[in-house]
Amino acid sequence: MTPAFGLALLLLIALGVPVVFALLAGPIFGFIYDGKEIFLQTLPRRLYAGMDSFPLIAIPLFILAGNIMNVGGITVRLVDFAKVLVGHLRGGLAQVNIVSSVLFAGLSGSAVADTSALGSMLVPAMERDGYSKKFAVAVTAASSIIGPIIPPSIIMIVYAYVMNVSVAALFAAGIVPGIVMALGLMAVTSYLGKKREFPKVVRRATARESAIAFRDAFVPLMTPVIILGGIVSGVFTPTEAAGSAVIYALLVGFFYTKSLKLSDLPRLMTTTGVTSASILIVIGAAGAFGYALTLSQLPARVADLLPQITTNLVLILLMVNLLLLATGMFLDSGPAIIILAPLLGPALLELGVDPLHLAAIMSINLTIGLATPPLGLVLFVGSSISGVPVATIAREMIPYYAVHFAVILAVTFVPALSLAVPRLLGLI
Amino acid sequence: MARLFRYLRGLSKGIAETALVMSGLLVAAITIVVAAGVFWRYVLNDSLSWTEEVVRYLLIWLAANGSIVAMHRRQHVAIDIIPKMLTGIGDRIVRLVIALVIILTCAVMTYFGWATAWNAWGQTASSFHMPLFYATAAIPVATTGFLLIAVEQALESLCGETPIEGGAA
Repeated sequence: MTPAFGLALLLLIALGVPVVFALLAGPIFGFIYDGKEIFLQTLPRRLYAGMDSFPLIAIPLFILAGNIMNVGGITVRLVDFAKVLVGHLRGGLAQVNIVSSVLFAGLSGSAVADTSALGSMLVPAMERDGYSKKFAVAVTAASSIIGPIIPPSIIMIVYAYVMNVSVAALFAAGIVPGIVMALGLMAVTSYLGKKREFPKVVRRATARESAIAFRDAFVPLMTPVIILGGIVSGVFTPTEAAGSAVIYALLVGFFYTKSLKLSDLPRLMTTTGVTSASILIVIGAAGAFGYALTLSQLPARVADLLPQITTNLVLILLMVNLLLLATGMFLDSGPAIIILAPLLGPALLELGVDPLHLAAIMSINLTIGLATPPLGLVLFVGSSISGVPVATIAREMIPYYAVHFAVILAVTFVPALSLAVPRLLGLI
Repeated sequence: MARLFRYLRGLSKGIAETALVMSGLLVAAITIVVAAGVFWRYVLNDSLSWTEEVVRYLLIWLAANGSIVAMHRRQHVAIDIIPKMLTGIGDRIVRLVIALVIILTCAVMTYFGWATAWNAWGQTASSFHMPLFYATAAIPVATTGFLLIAVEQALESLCGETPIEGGAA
């Protein structure tokens, strides 16, 4: 297979062809260019085989669980709980926004869900409290990317599947970086709070109020315990954990919070179906792309080329991070992982980077791309729920981007940040 | 051509609406089967052997149906900087080229997809006697749907119709 197929693929994506069709058109072009039309008949089988996997079933189930919890009144309880934790700090609601993202991250695997759920609730509340709307959206967007870093995480399931690493270990690897990111964002918020004199809530929640908020949030907060505890201890496969999370969310929504109605279900199911299918079909197409990639020997060429530029691992990792960031700015994290991981992975593993460490670097880096212009999905969702233009949100986010980049660098150069927890749990 | 376009628009809307209902049902089915698997394995201590295989087939059909809806709503992940920069005739040309790339791709996938699926007629699934055709057919069904919708979208650019944002389904 001619390596030019990769070029064709990139050109098509740049032109605006949806990624799923570019991933199929690239190999088709390559086979015809090489005069090997006989191979074309393998592509539908590759597309099928690319999706024929039990672990991938976790994707629709985690998305469904998140959607149910959102309708089921769980988000409100999480925010109330976050309020008693950090609401009394300067810039209270901004801090609440960040802490809510951390709590929400344990229930949902998607940054977009986080932005729309927390944003539609907290942005108006922050405005009433005297914050500018653009700042409120900026905090929401900046903290929402904690969602896919702290498990469960759709992007990590995709990475684990494409690169054949353990989902449980990768989930565990995200915990510390996610918390570090939250602490960094809170520190910046508290600095901005002093400088810009953010509103301060005078009264701290009483012990009784705290106890009530904790009680109301306790049942929903058991979800991450079930998911993570189940997966990490090896009791559940990720798919079984996701299925149990759906059932748990249904029970909580119907019988505990009682905000979920039977008539909500058809819409929840169809929304989940369309969202997850558009991820799954790209993963399937990646099967065809990966096959062409192997035939073209592109990953091997990258592996040969990279040490010729430099053998300095620090420099190589910096270059990889820049490439990931640049890609993440234009491409959604799932498709970006699908294209870049098999292309760069072999070269980096050969240079001695730990597979799980590489997984953490790539997943976290590309997640940050969700909140960067010009094509960050999180920015678009933030803009559509608030009416603030994308460029304005991005400008307002500059101090927070500094935290994001610092976390990427820390994860890249301090492997223990991502590897300590999986080691501790005996997953690697 | 305008008549063909109106006919196709109606047809693809119908396909997308059917696929939307199917996606919802498939998500429900996947949830039920996975939950049943968990229940039997952990509560009744008696693993059901067929759940894993069935739910994999359901997932393929979910991907097929849901992505037809996403295609109709123009929700598939794409970098639309170039189409958004252009207006008028330039915009129409780029949209047409994109639709043509999709049409060619899906024509190849549909042709070989049906061939692959028919070949699987003689093979049966491992844990129960279902011809694998019923699973592999999901691929050509999806690409046939994509193909029809892409033709509609190509004609739309040709006729200078305004794209239906968000779709009808």
